[in-house]
Amino acid sequence: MTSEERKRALDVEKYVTGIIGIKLKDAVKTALIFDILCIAVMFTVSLSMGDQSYAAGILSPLFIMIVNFLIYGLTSAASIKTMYNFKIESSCSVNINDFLCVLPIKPKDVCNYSAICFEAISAVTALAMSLIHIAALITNNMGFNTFFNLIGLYLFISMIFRIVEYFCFVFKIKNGFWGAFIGGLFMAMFMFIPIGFLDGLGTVEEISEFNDRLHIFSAFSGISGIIIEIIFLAFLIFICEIRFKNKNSISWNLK
Amino acid sequence: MNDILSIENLSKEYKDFKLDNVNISVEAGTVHGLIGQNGAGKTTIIRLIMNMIEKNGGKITVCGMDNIENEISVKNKIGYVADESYFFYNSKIKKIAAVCAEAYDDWDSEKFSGFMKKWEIDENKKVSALSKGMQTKLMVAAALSHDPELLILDEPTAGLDPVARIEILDILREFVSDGKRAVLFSTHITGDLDKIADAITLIINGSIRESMSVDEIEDKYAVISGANSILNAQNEPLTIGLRKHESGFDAMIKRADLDKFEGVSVKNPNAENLLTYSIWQNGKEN
Repeated sequence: MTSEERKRALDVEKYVTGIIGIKLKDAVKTALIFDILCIAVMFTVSLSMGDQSYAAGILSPLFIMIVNFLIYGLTSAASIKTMYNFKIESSCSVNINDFLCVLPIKPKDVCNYSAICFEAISAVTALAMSLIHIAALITNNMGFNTFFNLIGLYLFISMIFRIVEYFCFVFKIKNGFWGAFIGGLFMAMFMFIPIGFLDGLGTVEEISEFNDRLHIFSAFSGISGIIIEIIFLAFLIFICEIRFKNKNSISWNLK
Repeated sequence: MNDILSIENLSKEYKDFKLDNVNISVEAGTVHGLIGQNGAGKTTIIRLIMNMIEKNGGKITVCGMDNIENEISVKNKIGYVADESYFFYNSKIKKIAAVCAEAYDDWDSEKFSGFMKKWEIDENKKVSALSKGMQTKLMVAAALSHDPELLILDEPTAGLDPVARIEILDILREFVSDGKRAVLFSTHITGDLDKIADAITLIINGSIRESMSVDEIEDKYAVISGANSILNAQNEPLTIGLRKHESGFDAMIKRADLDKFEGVSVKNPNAENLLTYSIWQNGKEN
């Protein structure tokens, strides 16, 4: 995309923003601010937990993930889900592109705007995930016993779900069933599993034993976790390139 | 002849549906009806005109401009009313007006506000707060407020109350009255077309069956009814969509064949007759 094409694509945002009310860059900024706030909270929690440092090691990254994905949901709902064939209302069969198609706008600019949104949201999510790894490394360096294997498992599962979700968006297969299915999985992933760890695994020793059995997932945490996130982001951008960028029709994105 | 819309050899293929070699001309100063059953391809044609979907072949010209090469200019010339509201449900009407004002070259805010006042629609309301009829009126207002030359309506009167339907039809009549603009009106409520259409295109299973003026339809076809004894081996194959009852039969025929049906009562076909008898005939042929 040339700078001129990028400028024209971002011009489309004024119509989208006019309709749904949130600018992409504002959404991204909000997500980043929340990330930083989460890290601050993590340190505070970790330092204040004293002899429960094991719990602090695992809970803080999970806390960041929950908040990040709530933000991710917010930003994507506002600025990207509507671009990815999401219906305006569940009872209505039109989406935002129906309106954009009516306006005198070039479809190529709309496609490029979709691509910018997709890349921005993917990058913010990857950054948020990387921050989790960094946070885990920092807490570990501070002397807390961080459960890297558990975090690795957690991020491995999240990556699978993100792939499924992105493919559903990109290849327009998100219908009612898949929407409910993936929504349910995400809910389970980001809300109930951490609670399950707290309630079910109970003692620090039990969590520690569980963590030890998951050594295969250690590659998905720490520095290698960050590298995997970067490769994953590059993969998503590649999909974005072949699917959205510089396309002359947005028919792929309509009912 | 001054064609506002010209469609030549248009085709679009889906897995289970094919729009085949469609040719339509819409002259300035006319209301052109597009009729057909649900799923016949009316909405597909309209979506192709709006470049919402990619065509497989053919050419669409609006006001002398190719609809894809000159997409921005073409869309400035088109007012589009869909079968359901394409506005974001949670947006306030004044926000939508602001977006349209930004997008269209000739957006007339006063005209839009005039429509809103006339139809007693509060611009501070959200789209979701409007009834189906009001949402259609909102689309009509938005479509007319940027001074289009071609108004495209896709089943706009479905679900409207009779008063709202008559109001919309009045607007269409007024819109084409200067002889410089045209309306393409897709509907299966053929009664609306009988009131205002100057020409009709009948589409069945993705193919154009007829495309002609209302006068030409009346010149070409007749609807007949009479006793079953009138029918015989020679004249029965000439009927279109023949329906036999205990008390007699009714069918559409070519007016040129009228002398082969002695003793029948004859009336001029309307849009509904053209649609229904053609569909029945098509059902028999298949």
